[in-house]
Amino acid sequence: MKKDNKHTSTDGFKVPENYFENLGKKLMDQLETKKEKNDLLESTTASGFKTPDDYFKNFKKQLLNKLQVEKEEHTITKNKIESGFKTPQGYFDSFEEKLSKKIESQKSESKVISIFSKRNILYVSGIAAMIAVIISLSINKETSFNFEDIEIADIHTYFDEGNIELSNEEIANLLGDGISYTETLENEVISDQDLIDYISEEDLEDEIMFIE
Amino acid sequence: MNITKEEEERLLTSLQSDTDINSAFSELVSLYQQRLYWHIRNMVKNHDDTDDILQNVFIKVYKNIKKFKGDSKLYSWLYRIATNESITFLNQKAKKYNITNEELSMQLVQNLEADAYYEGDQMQLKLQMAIAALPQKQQQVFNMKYFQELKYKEMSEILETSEGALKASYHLASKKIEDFLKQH
Repeated sequence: MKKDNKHTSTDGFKVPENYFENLGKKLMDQLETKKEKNDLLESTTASGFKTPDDYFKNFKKQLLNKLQVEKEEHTITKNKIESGFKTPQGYFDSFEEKLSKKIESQKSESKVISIFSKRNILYVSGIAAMIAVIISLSINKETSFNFEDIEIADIHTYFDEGNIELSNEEIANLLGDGISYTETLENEVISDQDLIDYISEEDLEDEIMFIE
Repeated sequence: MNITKEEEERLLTSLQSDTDINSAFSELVSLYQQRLYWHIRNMVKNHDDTDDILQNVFIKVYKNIKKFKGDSKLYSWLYRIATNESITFLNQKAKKYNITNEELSMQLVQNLEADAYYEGDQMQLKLQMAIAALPQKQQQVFNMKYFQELKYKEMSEILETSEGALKASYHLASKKIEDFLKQH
């Protein structure tokens, strides 16, 4: 430490005039500038986003409030409350014995009955006779079926396999007078491609002439 | 559950054998009587009804143990029987008094004040009322998690519901209970 707390150059270095006198003020100015910059960063960012006024001032308070509410809400689940139910004294000690007695009493109540007693044989033979009658009746019924018993799908298959051939007149008779052929055709959606394929495959000259 | 998989398998083998069944059944009763009792009690609230149901549960287990295939764990099978017996009991009781299950739940809690085997204070009674106001499934989930402290995995095996659904159900039940307690 030098005399009067002052360092003087002894090896040729020099400082600008009043450098040390002004150093404190210069540092304070620099710190102030930095602080202003930081304040600016708190409210705006380079991205252009902004926060509501006093957002960060209130944030901590709001957060603590929210935590307090949640803490209160979870009082029941955190600080567990017992159910308050109790059992008679020694209940569990005597439970097994009580249960065993009940099981034993139920066992003795269910007597073993032989299925080969005379009375049971009569019952069983009666039931067997009834079953035999029901089966025989149902078999007889199956042999006399009518048209309603035939599945539509079976009829389709019958026609598809060429087991029956109907002339145009017969089909027309079956369809009757009440059917509009135009409407029937209009309901069918036939693609253009299907029509072209049909025309190219079939010799429709006569039909075309007829329609014209 | 404080029983290992190996211990459960050994117990089940003994229960399904003709020679060891009585000692194994005694072991089973000692092991599960308290857990099943509290499971049933939390649902039906009254001790005498719980006692009847608990006996019926063990009798059913005794009679049907040979039919148990081991597809699920033994404890979850026991809990399922206890749950079903309790629900059947509650449904029958509601039908008998010609009231809804919700009305019955409230009535059971109101009866607690005069129950010799209930020693809850006002807060505990209020909690029971809040539970009674929940739908039946949420009541079950809340009771199993809160009072019996079962794990979600165990509850999932017992109730045959996914763990996620149970967590959501418990969260919802807790929220409703908190709201109920704030309002009353």
